[in-house]
Amino acid sequence: MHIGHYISGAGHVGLIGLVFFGGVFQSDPPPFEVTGVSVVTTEEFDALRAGEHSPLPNTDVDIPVAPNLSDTAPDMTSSVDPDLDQGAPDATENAPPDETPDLSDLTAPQPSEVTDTSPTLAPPEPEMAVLIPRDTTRPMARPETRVAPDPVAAPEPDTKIDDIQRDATTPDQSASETVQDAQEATAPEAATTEIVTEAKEQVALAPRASVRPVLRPPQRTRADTSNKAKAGADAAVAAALAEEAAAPSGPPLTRGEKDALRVSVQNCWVVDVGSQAANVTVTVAVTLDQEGKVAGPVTMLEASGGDDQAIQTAFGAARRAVLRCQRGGYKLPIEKYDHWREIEITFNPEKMRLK
Amino acid sequence: MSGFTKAALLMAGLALSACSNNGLLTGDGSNGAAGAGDFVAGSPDDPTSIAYFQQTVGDRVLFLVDQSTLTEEGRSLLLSQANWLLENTSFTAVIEGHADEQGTREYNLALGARRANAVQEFLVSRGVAANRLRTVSFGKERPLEICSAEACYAQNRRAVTILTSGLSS
Amino acid sequence: MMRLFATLLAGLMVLGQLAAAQSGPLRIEITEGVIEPLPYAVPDFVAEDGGAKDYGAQLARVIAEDLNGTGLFREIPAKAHISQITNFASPVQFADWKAVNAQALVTGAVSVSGNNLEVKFRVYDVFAGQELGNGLRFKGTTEGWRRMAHKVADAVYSRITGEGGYFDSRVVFVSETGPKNDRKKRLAIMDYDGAGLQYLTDSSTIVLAPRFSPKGDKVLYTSYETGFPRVFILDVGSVKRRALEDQDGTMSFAPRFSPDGKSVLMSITQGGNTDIYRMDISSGRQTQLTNSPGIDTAPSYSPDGSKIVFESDRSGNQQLYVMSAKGGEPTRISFGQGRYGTPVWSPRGDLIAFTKQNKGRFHIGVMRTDGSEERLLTASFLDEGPTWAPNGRVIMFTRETQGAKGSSSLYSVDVSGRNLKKIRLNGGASDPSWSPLQ
Repeated sequence: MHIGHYISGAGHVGLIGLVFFGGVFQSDPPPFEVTGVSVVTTEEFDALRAGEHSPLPNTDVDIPVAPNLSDTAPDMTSSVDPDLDQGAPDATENAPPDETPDLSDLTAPQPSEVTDTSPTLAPPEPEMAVLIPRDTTRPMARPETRVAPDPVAAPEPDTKIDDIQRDATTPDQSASETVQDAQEATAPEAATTEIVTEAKEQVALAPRASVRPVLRPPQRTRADTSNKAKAGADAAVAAALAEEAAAPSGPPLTRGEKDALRVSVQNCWVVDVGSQAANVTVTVAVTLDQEGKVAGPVTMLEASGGDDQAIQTAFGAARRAVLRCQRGGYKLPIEKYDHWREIEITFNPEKMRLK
Repeated sequence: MSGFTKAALLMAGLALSACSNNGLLTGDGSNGAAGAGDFVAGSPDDPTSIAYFQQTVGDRVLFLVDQSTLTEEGRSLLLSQANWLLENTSFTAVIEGHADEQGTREYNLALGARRANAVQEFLVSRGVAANRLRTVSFGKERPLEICSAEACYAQNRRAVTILTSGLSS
Repeated sequence: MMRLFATLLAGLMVLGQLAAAQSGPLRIEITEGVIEPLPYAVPDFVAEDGGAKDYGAQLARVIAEDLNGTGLFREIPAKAHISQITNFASPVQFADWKAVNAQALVTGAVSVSGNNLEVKFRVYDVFAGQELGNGLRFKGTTEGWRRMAHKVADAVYSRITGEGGYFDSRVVFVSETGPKNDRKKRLAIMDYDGAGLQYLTDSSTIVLAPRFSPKGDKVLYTSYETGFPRVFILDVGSVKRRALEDQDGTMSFAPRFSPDGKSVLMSITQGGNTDIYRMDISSGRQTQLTNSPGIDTAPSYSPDGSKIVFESDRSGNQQLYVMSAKGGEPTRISFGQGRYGTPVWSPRGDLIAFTKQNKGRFHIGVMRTDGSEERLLTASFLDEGPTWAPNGRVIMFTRETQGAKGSSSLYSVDVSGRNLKKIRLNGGASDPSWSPLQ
């Protein structure tokens, strides 16, 4: 009789223990064992090895041909003509369009002529309208490796590339309470607004008419954004001050607040326009904590427009966008936390498809 | 004696250079051998010689861009070719069609074939036996002139009648 | 007051939610993103024994060249890395890789025993803090290390983009030397990146426009070996070849394999008229598929084998047409300005690549299979003959430069029109045909 109770008791204690501590075991980092590595079968292995020897020596090789192959190979390199030819045509008029897209491989942003020189330019005299600088005849944007909704001129050389534009700040002694941390100047990576293929670029190579030099607009946009940033910072400070008092439920987010969130996520949404995933519209669910940071996993709610692989890829890109751009947390008004704790973001690449 | 030798050497040289320009059919060897073997006897003044056909009658007609219709000029030249072939029945001919570089490779092959065929049909219509004529196209693979300008292109859009002595084969 | 204001505002919003004043998920839609290469890191593979030391770095370099070469990835150089991978089995410090903005990370290890090389690797999504797929292990020989690197790169590419790779593939093409009016041509084969060049024929005769069989073991091409253009078939392994068609008084060219590799499409010219025929390879039986007085050539099967796209000048100049694989009345699909030729159906089946001539320039372009959404990817004095990478993502083609000293080279371009690149080769090259993935 008692034995039954003992067994039952031991079983229950074990079960309860498992419930309590099982979670602890699960939260261990996933084991990195080589056993997870899949093993190639002997057939695959043989096929792979056979492949290494292709194409020549496996079967009944036509023997008269074989020496031909090896003998004539050096023949190719010793012939001088084609080598010379290679050099010469590059200098013809075809060269510039050929070379420019190649340069786009370089990751370093071009040092900017634009921002450096513009403020000092005096308005040109009317007579000077004909003097178009020879090296800037191309009216189209330089092909950047990056295509984004908002064009960004190449930043100044010292500027660190970041997704958010910030002005450099230094601790300001005169400002009383508002303490701002020193921050490095950053700027978004240089970008153009459309994919400039060689075919499109060609059209613009020879200007049909001389272009009257247009006065560069003063750097208003820059000033504006920095003002905005400052205003944003002020608001954030105000919000932070109000935090303890604010109830977590307030009026819904304004359009501007939603737009700000949309823009900050879209800046990190990298779309591979040539892929099947570019046909997929995916909606993800995100939970944010009070600091605006992603809490818990980003999950996929729905997806349409592609097969499983394309959907997984589209989801991966969406998830990366949400996770990357959170940085220190999305800037959202804390008093409206109830309205943005749960977010559903739809990533719809329709507008970005290749035209 | 020495005059004859000179003439013969000149002839051989002409025949060979003509071959190296146009004798692309079977690669090396056969045409050169045939030229040196059989046709040295005829000089450009000899109206039954290949050299005479090439230089005096004219061995090629030119075409307009992307066209295979014979021009007036071309027709009158081909008329002379037909007459010559009717008189010199021991020769057979391969008509090579060519195109300029302004076209895709395979299309130009077909275009060259069409040009060669236009020449063949004309010659047949003037009484040359069809079994003496064959056609081949080189598309844009063997331009005569190599500049990328109309002056060169015009020379490359051509059909060339290449003679072979029917007796040798 | 606040409530009234909020209600008004919600009414104004185009996508306004009923739930504006209540809690419930906030919904936003993003329609514009950025197009930029994805930053990733591929530290040198860990050498697990002394013999593997050199391979660890070399493998990582080839993998990085493959990935960078797509234009879709940007490598974060090793000098920027914060943490080092010294043990393949230890956990990855995601924070260190996030800090250098690596969105993907490839780690690997290599070991050598005798002539055998073993490579294993893992791919991580750094920001999600998780592995993409499972680790993989490849075994091969030390001399085949480049192919192993390509295989790893293909797997990485595939896991990140969700599409098949194309790095472990080859290209058959025509190698060219000599001046324009006496160009020597011979068939050659190379890895997709220009490495491992081998010749399949000598330069004694003109050879044109080779095409790989669906398995990559045979090549069709046009040769002047008999004095006339003839379609030949060549076995890549033995380099043995034979003429497929040798009918007197005709010429045959523009051969293409059917998707099952059992039959061949080709153009046969008879009496100046060029039509498209299908020939069964084993029996040699021919079926005529087109019958127009014009030039019908450059055929290409759809990947499912049900349709054929080809070019014809039946309308007066070169245009593209699609017909049933059995022949019959074709439908014209190209209607833009200029002439269209050399159509090639993409392996994905969704696009047709072509050569376009307009206003004295040549373009490589793509369109949907019904002819809609035409996009031109390149422009030059002479671009022609597109061929698709096995994944349908990249197009390789011939570019010839202008003038008496003009020469041909192979170029590749992404289907988006970005990332135009010249294939590094010694000497001239034309008429590429991309193999399937090996």
